Amino acid sequence: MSETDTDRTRRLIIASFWTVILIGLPLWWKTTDVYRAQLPFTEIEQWSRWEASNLVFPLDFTFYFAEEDETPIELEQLSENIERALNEQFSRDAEADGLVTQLSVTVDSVKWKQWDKIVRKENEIDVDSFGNSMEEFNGRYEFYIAPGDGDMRVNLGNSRCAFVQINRKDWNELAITKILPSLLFSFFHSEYLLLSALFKPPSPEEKPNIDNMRAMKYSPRYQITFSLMNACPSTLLVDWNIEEAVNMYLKPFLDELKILSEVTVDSQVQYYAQLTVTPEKNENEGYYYLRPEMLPHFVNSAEWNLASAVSSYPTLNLILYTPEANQSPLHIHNSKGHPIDNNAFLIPRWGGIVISNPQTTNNSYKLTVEELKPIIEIFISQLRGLLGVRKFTSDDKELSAKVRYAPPPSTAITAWELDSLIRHRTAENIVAAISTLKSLSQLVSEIPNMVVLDHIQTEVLQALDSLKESCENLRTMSYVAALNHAKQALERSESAFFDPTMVSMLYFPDEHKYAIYMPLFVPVSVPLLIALLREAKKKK
Amino acid sequence: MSTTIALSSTAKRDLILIASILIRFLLFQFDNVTEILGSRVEIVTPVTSFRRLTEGIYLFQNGVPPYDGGIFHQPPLLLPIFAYIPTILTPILYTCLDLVFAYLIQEITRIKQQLYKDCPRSDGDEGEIEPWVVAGCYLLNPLTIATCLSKSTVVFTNFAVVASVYYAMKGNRSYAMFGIAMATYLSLYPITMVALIILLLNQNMPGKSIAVHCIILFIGWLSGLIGLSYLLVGSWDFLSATYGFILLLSDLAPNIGLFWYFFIEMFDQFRNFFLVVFQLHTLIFAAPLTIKFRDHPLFAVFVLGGITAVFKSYPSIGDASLYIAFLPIYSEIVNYMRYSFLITNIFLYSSLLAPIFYHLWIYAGSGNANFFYAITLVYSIGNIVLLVDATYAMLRREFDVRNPELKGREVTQK
Repeated sequence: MSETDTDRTRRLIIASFWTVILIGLPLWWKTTDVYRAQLPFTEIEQWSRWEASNLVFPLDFTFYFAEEDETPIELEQLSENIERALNEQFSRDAEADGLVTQLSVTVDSVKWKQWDKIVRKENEIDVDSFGNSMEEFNGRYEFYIAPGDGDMRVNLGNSRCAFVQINRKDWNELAITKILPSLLFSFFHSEYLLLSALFKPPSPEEKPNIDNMRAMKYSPRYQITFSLMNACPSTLLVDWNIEEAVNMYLKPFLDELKILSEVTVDSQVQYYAQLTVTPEKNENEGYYYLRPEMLPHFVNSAEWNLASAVSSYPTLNLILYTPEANQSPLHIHNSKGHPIDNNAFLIPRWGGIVISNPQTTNNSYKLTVEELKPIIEIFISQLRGLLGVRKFTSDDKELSAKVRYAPPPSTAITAWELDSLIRHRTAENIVAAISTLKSLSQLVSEIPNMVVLDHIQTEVLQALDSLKESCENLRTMSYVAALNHAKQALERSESAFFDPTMVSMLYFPDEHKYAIYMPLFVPVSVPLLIALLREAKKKK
Repeated sequence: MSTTIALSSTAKRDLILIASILIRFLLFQFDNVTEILGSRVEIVTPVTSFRRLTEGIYLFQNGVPPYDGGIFHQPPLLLPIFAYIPTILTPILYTCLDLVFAYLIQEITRIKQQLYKDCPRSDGDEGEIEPWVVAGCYLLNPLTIATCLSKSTVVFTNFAVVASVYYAMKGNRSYAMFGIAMATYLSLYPITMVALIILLLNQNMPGKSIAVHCIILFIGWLSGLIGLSYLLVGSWDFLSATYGFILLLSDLAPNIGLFWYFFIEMFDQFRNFFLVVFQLHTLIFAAPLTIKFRDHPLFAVFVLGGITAVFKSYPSIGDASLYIAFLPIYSEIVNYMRYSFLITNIFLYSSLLAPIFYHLWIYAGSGNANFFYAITLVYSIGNIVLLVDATYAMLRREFDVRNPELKGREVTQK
């Protein structure tokens, strides 16, 4: 083998090593490439800087004036005047400046004689029978206005109708354009305040809203667990007919709420449920009582098995507690030291508790459906608070009008309340979806090593689409559709944000990469590079 | 005065033959021996396990696609072999394969000695090794015996490689290429030896260019085998279940290789990249070795076999038994080897400690994965030291033969 021959062999060998390495290089690039689907950053940024200036929660009011022969109301110009006054009043309010108010007014006249008699029949007016139910929908309200002798009074129905009686001396166009806007303002103002607060960045000095603190965070599904806590079944074995009671009294309420959230109900009975607090005894009257400061410790979370294994949705716990014999009857005192009527209390964002003292000498007792009715009523009022239902009232103390409410419907929620809740939840979901998307885009742009797969991109795009749809529906007053789109936007943005592939590379600085590559490739590359350099030198 | 019973070399050969057959038959009688050996991670791997093959055969015979179970990862053509051979005959089949392997390696030695008999030799050389000794070394190698008793299907791969080498040295192009195609079909890695087989064929007829013809033959045989497999199982699933399984390392169960521990610890994002790097390890040495030892392709088969045995994704001691079988053929380099003592000790050390550490980790719970992984590293180092030392010895001997005056001097490559 000659000298040139060995040289050639060596060169060939070095070349063959480098060939394999060169083949490896594109594979290196390909296999360690961080896949990042393009996210619509600018669009998300636009949404987050939006500050609700384009969000509209339009309302449409129709006023039916009584057609009276004595002093007819001139309808011409009236609708524009009322509308202008109404919008001015809402937009004048500095606190509600975030929202664009879009309130439209229609006026019409109805033959007075037809319902003259009904109105005269004193206060019991079935306002709900006035309305034309075909034209009713969320955001559209009808007011029937008639002159009367006494003070101004308002009869609020359970559906979207109200009857307003105005003193006869105010029965002219000028007075009406003042009275009606301030009446509406007093009813809807608080809702607008709440809505606009959602879109503002939270300020620390702002005092927290009690209603908001009580209500659960929104979820498309909730689980309600009824628990009968029997403290001492050996002296008194309590059972209840809960299924029938729930179907009879609670179901109509839940059916109404179905638009917002699916609610599943289950129940359980637990025996020997011990309290962690010891009730005190009122010696004079012979009963036991709990002071208000003892109530936070009432629930024995260590021993009462209240965690639901059935679902992962937020759970609302409703507990009926029957105390043991030597602590009964058990009552709850208010801060002044008097027993409270309903013997129940609410734990914000957790659930409600009712204490029941069955009067019986037997050692077993079954709560019938009739007996459960008042208890379920308390539970429903607690659920209203927990689910964020706000009572629809006038917040203006100076309003001279007497407001009468129709007897509560069997659904335990009026159309006014439900509408308001739907609007509130829609706004809440839109805000939550936008802030989730914003966090996501911040996270992705801050961590360049994070893998962003295609399905994340799809989720984000769909969430943005849903947001757009939702806002579009708000503009056209399709509140239920807007709510559904807002729900979807929230769900999609959260499923993108909490996707497991997003967290795998959450923390992976570049130094880690050196630690991964160096141990193998530095030792390997030394002889390869030296051989290459030597050959290059020889060539010279 | 001592009496030595001098046996003639044929008598010794017969004795070894009978002894090795007896050992195998005897041990095959003890079910628990084959059972234990057949489940040791050092001996069988997911791609060679006979138990997994049995599962595949059961599914195959019941009309279920054999790869659907997710347990069987061996090429489909093994199925009919064992499906139609009675269980009784399986030990005989494995013993016969070992014996034929021994015969072939003996013949290879003979042909090699014939080929190189005119080559200049170093004055340090002792007489040439008797071909039957090479066969005996293979038959009595404990690694070979353990592999045979475990009924590992790596035996078929080894046999295909040695048959290919044998026919290549005999100059039978078609059979040689069929052998290496079969080996590739069975366990993929022998594809690195194709060039060497062509070089071996070339030794018989120097000057003629047969490479193209051989490569066409190889591709033809391989596609034939794969096509036959497709006809047998009726779908292409077997490609991903066998070769995909080998390349992508779907099974991270411990074995004596370097892959499993590394890829358990690997960050997910880098897994693909390091898979490429590790698989390229077996490939990167093929071309340089072929170029360097183009005059000694048989020796290159030995080195490349060793590299495969260390760097493949599911190695077992059966892979080592293949390449070690080629070592005694080059008995002349033994004198040039510097670390024979160290290597012997490393092999003894690791074969003793590997089962112990595995037991401590898996069964006793008093050790952890690092114990066993350390031993697999020692085993790999032993193999690599052997390869490096043998390569050094080979090159040094070549050098000494060409430059007798520099014998014993320090030589450095510049």
